[in-house]
Amino acid sequence: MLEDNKHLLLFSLKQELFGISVKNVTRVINLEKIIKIPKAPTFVVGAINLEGHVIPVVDLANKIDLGITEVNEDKKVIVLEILREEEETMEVGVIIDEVLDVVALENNALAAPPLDNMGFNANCLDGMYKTGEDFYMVISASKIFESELETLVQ
Amino acid sequence: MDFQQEYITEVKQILKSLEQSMMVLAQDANNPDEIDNAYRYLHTVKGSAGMFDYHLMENLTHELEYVYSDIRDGIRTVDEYILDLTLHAIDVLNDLIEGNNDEKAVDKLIKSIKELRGDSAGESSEATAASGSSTKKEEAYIIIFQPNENIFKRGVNLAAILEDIADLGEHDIIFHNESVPFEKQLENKAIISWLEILLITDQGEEGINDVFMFLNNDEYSSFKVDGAESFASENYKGLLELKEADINDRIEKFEALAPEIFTSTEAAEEVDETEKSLDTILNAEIEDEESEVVIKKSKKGATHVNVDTQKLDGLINIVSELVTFRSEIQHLLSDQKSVQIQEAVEKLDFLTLKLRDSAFNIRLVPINILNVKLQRLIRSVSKELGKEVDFITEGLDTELDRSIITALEAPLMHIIRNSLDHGIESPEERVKRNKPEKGLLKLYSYNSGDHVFIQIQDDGNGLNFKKIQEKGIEKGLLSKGQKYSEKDLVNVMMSPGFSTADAVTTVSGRGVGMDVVKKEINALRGDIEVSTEEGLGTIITLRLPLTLTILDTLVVNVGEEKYLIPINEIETCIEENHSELFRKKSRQIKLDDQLVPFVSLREYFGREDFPEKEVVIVVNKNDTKIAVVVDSIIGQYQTVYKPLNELLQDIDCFSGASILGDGSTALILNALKLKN
Repeated sequence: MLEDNKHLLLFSLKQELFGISVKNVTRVINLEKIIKIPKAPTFVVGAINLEGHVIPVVDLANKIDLGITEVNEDKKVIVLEILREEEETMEVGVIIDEVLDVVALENNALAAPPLDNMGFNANCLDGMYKTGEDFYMVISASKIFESELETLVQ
Repeated sequence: MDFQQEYITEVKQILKSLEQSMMVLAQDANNPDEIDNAYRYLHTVKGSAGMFDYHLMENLTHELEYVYSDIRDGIRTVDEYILDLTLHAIDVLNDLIEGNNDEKAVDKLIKSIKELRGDSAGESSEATAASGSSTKKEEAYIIIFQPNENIFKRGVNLAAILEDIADLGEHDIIFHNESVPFEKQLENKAIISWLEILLITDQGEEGINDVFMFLNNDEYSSFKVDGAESFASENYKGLLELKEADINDRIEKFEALAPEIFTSTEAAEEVDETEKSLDTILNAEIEDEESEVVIKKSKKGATHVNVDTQKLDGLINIVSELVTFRSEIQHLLSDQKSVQIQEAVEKLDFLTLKLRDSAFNIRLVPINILNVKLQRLIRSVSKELGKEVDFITEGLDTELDRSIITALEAPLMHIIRNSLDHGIESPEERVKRNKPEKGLLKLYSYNSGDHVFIQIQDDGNGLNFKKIQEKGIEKGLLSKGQKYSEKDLVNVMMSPGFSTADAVTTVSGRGVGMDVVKKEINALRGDIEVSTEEGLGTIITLRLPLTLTILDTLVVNVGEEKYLIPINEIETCIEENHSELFRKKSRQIKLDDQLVPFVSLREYFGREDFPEKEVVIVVNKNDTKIAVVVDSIIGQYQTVYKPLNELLQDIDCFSGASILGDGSTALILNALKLKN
């Protein structure tokens, strides 16, 4: 058995292929009943009610400078749980186009990511995963929200 | 729960009680009850520390116990030095129980205590000599020890008890019912035997009781043996019927342990027999008192249960969900015509609300639990500053949500520090101003509606508005030549980066100012208000919600989005035409001959379309009025408050969010923050 954190959730967003460690993923839901939050940072599309918790939904594409996602009911939301400080976690949903697969990650299967001309903010990458002909950009949940987490600690 | 953990919690509680006793003794040094209490707390901590192998703790409490037994016996009186020493010891003990073994600190303390005792050691040794050699004399005892079955479950360490008995003096154990070897019984943690322990000790009955302090009274009994005739006495017979051979056997065993035990004493005994019996009676009385206290405590334990806060939060969460669900049901069945269903819904309504109230009541704790901490702070700070202060409290039984009380601690301490540092003057200064030398600090709290008020009042110098204004200008927070009201200046004082102390004192200049206090109080959905009279003092009033989680709100809508406004903040609602509102460029509305600024939510949120009929909701919070313009009112709704996610914390125009009856989410407006 491979450990949880050795699995990747593969998804597509804006024609690009991505992967994220399932360690941070609590679930994937349909984008429904989202409310707008005026005055929120531009990358926050709104908030949803997830079993009594109010969770902000982030336009992932916007957050990593990949463009703006059109919010509609076809979209999916990956709910992430990101560790901040000790023991405390922050829940946040990110919008994606489609979930593709969950794969086990063999040792050293992550290649170093190319950093130039990616068309989005490559600082949030953990590495690259190749299977068959496809390359998946593996993004790190905590790196996506690095600057937000930093200001929270202060 | 694990025993160690349980024990740690218990010791912490005892230390807290000890601290409380100290605070009483600080006011009334001769209070005999508290002296007794202090002694007993130390004694308990000492006894249990030994059992759980906290040796540093044992040593420290042991030394301290001497001091308090001297105090109890009238050999010495509680003074400042002893109080400080004890308070310091409490801190060190708290560290020890947490596992921070600072041996140096303990040694230093023990040394100070020994020095303290040294200056009157002559007297005290004389005193013990005068009180007779009774405690030093070796005596024979038989202890009948019948451990209950659950003894291991209670975390009692039998082996340790037997070791402690060995420490008391020479002894011999007769095992009864030993169908399984005793070692085996220990190993299996299933005791079926009962023990008869023959003991020669100079520690008296008290020493024996110490060893058995974790056992129930029915598990052991001890008898002093003066010779063969003691075995014939009534209370002994009740437990154990012995044949003459058995008695002789025991006498022999005793004599093997201590040859002179029964012969030499008898002659000497005669002389101070009366005195001694008096002594034992007294002793017995003390014992009685102690056991009474223990019973009281256990009775208290029956009415108070310590519950893990997480469990409590779990319960509150479920109740909160239930409250939400109740609204949903009500919503779904609102157009039902059946009387029966209506009645059932009403009943569900009633029960849920009752359940909610009792669940939330569990979370409420009296403000009193902060008292000792505040008193200690006042003591140490006033000493540091060379000021004298009387601290008066009132209404400390006022209850607040536990999480609020915890969050309140830091701001309260800061406010008090400020009052002592900046408010109350030095004694010389006070005399010059015809004030009593001792300053007065008052903390009172009371309920009003669904809010709790806490006021901290000092009779110090009051706020120096001139100085605040100068400082404000200097810091670039105020502009020169403009007139400011006192309220404005108070606000400036509570804004970030403002501190009036000319030099950063160790007391209040710890990097935090009133702005942090304000922020923390606001985070609790509370408010802070300052009123002051120059030269006479300052009153700081904190207004806090009873609980953080349930809120009565008005549901309004702006376009498709719904927003909630806490009902207790709403003054009035009126209908108004959009064109009338926006006729002038200034966003002010005339209400009862008063101009009130308004914020159109549509405009605020950047929308450009407006309905012709709009609703103006006038919010009044802390005497600050602001009107909010929305599309329409949907209804009234009781909601469970949810804090905003960390990512959204910077948006201060919303104080939180809530789930509506239909499962949708709505944001709670923080109207005062809609300005700018």
